[in-house]
Amino acid sequence: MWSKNINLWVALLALLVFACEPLDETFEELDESTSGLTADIEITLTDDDYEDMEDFEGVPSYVYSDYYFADDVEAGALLPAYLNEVYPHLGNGSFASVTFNIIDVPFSGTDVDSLIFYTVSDQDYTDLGHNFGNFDARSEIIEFLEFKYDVEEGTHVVLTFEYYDGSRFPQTQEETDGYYFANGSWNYAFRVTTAYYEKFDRNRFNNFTAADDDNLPGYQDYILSNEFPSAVAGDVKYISYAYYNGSTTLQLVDALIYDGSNWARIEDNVLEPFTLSFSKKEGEWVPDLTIKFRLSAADATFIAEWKGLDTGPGGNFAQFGSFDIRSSSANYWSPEDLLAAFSALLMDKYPNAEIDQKFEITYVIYDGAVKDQSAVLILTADGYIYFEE
Amino acid sequence: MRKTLRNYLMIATMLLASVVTFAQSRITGRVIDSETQEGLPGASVVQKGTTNGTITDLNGDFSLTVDDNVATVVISFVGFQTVEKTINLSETQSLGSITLAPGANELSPLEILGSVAVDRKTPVAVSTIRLEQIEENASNQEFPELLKTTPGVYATKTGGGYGDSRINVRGFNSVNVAVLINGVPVNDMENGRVYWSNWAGLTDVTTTMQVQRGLGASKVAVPSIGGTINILTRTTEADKGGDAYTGIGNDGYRKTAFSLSTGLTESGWAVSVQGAKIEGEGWADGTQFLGYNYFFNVSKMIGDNHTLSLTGFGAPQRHGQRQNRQSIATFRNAPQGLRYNADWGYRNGQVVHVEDNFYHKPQFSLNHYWTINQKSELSTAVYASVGTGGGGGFQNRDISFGDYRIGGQYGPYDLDAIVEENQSSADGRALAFLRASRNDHKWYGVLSTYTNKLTSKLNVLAGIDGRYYQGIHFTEVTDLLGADYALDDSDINNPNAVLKAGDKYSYYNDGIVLWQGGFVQGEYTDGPLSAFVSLAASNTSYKRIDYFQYLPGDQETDFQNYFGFQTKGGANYNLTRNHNVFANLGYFEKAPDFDAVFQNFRNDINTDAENQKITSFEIGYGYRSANFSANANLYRTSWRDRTFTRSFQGQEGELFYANILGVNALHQGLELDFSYKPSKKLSINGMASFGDWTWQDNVDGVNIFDENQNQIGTISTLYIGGLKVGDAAQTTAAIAASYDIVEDFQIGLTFNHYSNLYAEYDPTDRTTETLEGEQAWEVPAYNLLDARVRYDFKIGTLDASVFGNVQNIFDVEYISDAFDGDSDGDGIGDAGGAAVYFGVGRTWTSGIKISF
Repeated sequence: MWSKNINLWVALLALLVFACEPLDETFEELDESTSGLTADIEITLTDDDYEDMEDFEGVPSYVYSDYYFADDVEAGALLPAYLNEVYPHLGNGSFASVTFNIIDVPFSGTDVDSLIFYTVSDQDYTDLGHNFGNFDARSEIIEFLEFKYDVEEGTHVVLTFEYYDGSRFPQTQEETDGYYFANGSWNYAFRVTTAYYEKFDRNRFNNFTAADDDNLPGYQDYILSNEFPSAVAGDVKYISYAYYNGSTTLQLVDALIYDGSNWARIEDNVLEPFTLSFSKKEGEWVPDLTIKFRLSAADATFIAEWKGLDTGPGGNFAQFGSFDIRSSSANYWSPEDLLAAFSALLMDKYPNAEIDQKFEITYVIYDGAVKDQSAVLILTADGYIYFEE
Repeated sequence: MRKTLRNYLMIATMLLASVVTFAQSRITGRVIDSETQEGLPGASVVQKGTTNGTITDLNGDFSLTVDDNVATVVISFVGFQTVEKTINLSETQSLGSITLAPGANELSPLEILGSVAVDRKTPVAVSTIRLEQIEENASNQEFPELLKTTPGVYATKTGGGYGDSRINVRGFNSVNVAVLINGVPVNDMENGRVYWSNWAGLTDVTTTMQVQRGLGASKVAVPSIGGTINILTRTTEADKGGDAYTGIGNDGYRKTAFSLSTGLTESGWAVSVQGAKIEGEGWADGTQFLGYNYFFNVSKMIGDNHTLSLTGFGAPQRHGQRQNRQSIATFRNAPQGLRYNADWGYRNGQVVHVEDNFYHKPQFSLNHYWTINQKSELSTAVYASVGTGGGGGFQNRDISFGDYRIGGQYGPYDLDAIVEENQSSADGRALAFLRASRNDHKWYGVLSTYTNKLTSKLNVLAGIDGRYYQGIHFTEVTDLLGADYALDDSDINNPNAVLKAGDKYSYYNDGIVLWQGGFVQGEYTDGPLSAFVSLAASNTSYKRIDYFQYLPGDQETDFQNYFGFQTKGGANYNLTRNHNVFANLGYFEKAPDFDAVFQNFRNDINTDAENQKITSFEIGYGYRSANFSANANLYRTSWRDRTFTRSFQGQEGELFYANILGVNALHQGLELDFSYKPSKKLSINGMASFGDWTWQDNVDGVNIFDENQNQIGTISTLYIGGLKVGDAAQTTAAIAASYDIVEDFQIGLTFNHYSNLYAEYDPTDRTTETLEGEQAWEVPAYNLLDARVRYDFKIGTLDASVFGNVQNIFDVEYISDAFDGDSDGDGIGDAGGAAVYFGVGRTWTSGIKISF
């Protein structure tokens, strides 16, 4: 009996083997076309990550040796290659928020390789067309230095010159200030005055000594705070001072940065974290400056109240937290209704958004089933519209 | 052919009336179904001319004690031709095997109430699942799934929660499929849906399930557009005894069940009770469940002509749900894989079913069977059912549940974190809490059928169907999650309500439905021809009471009345002993449902709501022989004017309604099934079903004007012409084989195929011209294989059976339910945009049943 019906069993089994995994094709198509594995990731580049970029085309050496980008534009251009390398498996529609360093203050040291004491001569003023034998703007001093010296990094000039500032004194004053050439340009360096040496009990020789090493940062903070009371966080100033090292008196330069309350000596590049967003489109990671968010409970309350809790759609949304997008429903939210609601929300939430700013809002809809849906809006001169690529 | 056939109940009632006799001789035998060559359980065996009788056990075996030396026994069963055998007990005490052939017989009173269809007589397409098949296949499957090997049926577990399964018949969902339990309609009186979770576990007490596709045999007006599912439970057990069952399964599934019958007591009563407890973790995450079911029947015969029978059953349950469908990508990305469920969480290390379902709907029915005289009978059922329960969920206020998950986006809800937020709320209010949407109801009804044999050929049935229904709908706070109270301002009679757990909020309204129905049916039988004509009419009255949106005195609407009717007729002709043909034709109008009458979930009355109109036509052919039977039928059901209403606000704020006609669907197809028993050991059943279900023409857009000719709204053109109906596989096929490897050891395999399944969508949302003719996403076809074994043996003198079942034996990954959606922006539904439920993977159960 078994053998007589064996064909049937074999046929049954064969049928099964042929059609065992009904979704294989669907999975493949999904992987190829739209999403596959999609994710929203947030990453912060580590030193190792920067080093990994050494092999990528067009990456400047400071990126992989000093771990920073020149600015967000450079990062926006270079990071897609990195994301393509490290996250090739994430499908279209994936979103990456990448935090990296951009350089705020480059620092190549404050060694004084060449020290020049110079007093500006009458001829110098004449050569530069200053008829009164003085400077009357700080920029003129920089012009002079550029004119006078064909210099290299590390040149320190202590310059004595005639300066006219009508707002301070009615006549020309003689001043002596430091200027330090670093990062390709002349920088003003505040020269510590006799009054400060006196303050720190170093007015006998008007210099600091090795005994001051521990205190110098505090002295410098005091001096610059006093000199630049209106400094804002991130300001960088150079300071020039005399220093006796036990055998010689040197004229040293330090760079300091203001953090909002104190000045601190810069000893390395000053880097700043910066975050850019990228999204994967058509198989490639591209910068995406869209602000993405999911409607919070507060956002939902705002929209429901904006629509009116006594209206069908508003009340229904307040109740269920989902937009009913069935046009047959009494609580129907048409695409136009949603646009109006999101516009109102964005104007409330981001009143200072600039033209062309895009927002991707994720919200819950009900179309017979409850599910997530997203809309991308862009701000135009005429208000928000749906963004279409 | 007019021998009286008795079902269990009638046997019992006759036994009640019998005098106690002294056992002298015992007749034994086995009743065999000629179609399947298997024992026929539940057949009645009665000594002719007496009220002495019994019924066959699960194997078809019986033994009957008689006083006489020569006795004639009458062996009968619903849907089979009655056989009489005479035995001389001085010669032998065994009747051996008695084969019953399918054929027309008179129905028992319960079956008349229940509108059971009879093979080769009732001209409708029908599939019947009997006790033995239910017992062998039940496992962890629910009612709808037991029917998956019958044509025209698409059943799934939806999210996989206990009781969450659904069924579509001929492409129509439960709103358009009538479900009757012992003849009592159970479709929701307001929206027409069937909530199978109300009946989860009741498979244990089901003796027969019958799917009548298309118009069906129901005499009462029921929404039988797709078909009618008749469920007959146990009634009275004639013999003293019972059985016990214990079983286990995948994911902590445990089931314990028992049944007991007193048999006949000296005082003439018979009582049967049954109970079960079912629990488990559920295949999908967070779908733990605990369910019970109970059943009892008490019968008493009063005099010779009256029988009273009280039946009660219910299946209280609570289970975690997988409420929300997800994209395919979500399931693939989730570390839990296809078991992923977004709708549950943890609190204090305990699982909390944020989305859950709990319901208990006990149903009691007092049936009275009155044999008025030789020619007429009256069967009446008075029933009451009180449903309590609903579905849990979350309520966001100032914070959002979705922001609190343990371990990332695929993790369960972090309810401890929400409790912490609530406890730190400035004024003690809940920032978010748990709620339940409650849908309680009270339902009372009477169903009565009078039968009169006017002549030997003509039978007339007439009856009434009266129902009172009160649905009670509200949302309640179930758990404040550590907060002191929650705030709500949706009740105008209690603005700024401060809510505690158990308080109602958001909405609170009642729906009252009155139903007055009557029907009359004529049945004509003449030799090989049987025919019927029937007319049923009903008045549906709706009233809405809204306690939240209206002030006292203004909360109740008047009753709104809608008249519906159905008329149908058909004939069956038995060409030969082997061949029969049938045809039926029907037209009916169905009253609009509650929400079409009361718009916007308010007391806004749309007085002109339109009836839906259904025309159905069907022809069929049947073949019967000793070891092979087959059926083929063609159907064409036209569903016209599907309810499609809109309301618009006029300039003064007054409401206007548009009732748009013309949303029409045509469901037609071919259904085949066969049963083949080439040997005593092997039997094969198969079916194939080819549907062609499409929406018809586009529906032109219209502008809506008020009486001053101000345009107040527009209804867009619906581009639905030629769209395939979604949500059910249009092509299905199944082959089931069972084989007795050795005596009492049987294995079975069931193979199911599903294709032409389109994602669900609402045709009234198809308003974009450029998408005209674009089908919803087609869900990939899939095949599943189930296997089972059964072993019967003896423990001492007790009969025992061991069952083992494996569903989806190859652990196939497939999508059973999809809602259409677009992911790439072209507006056309695709795999990326669909929100789906994956079908459950491999599951199994195993159990042992001991009868005593």
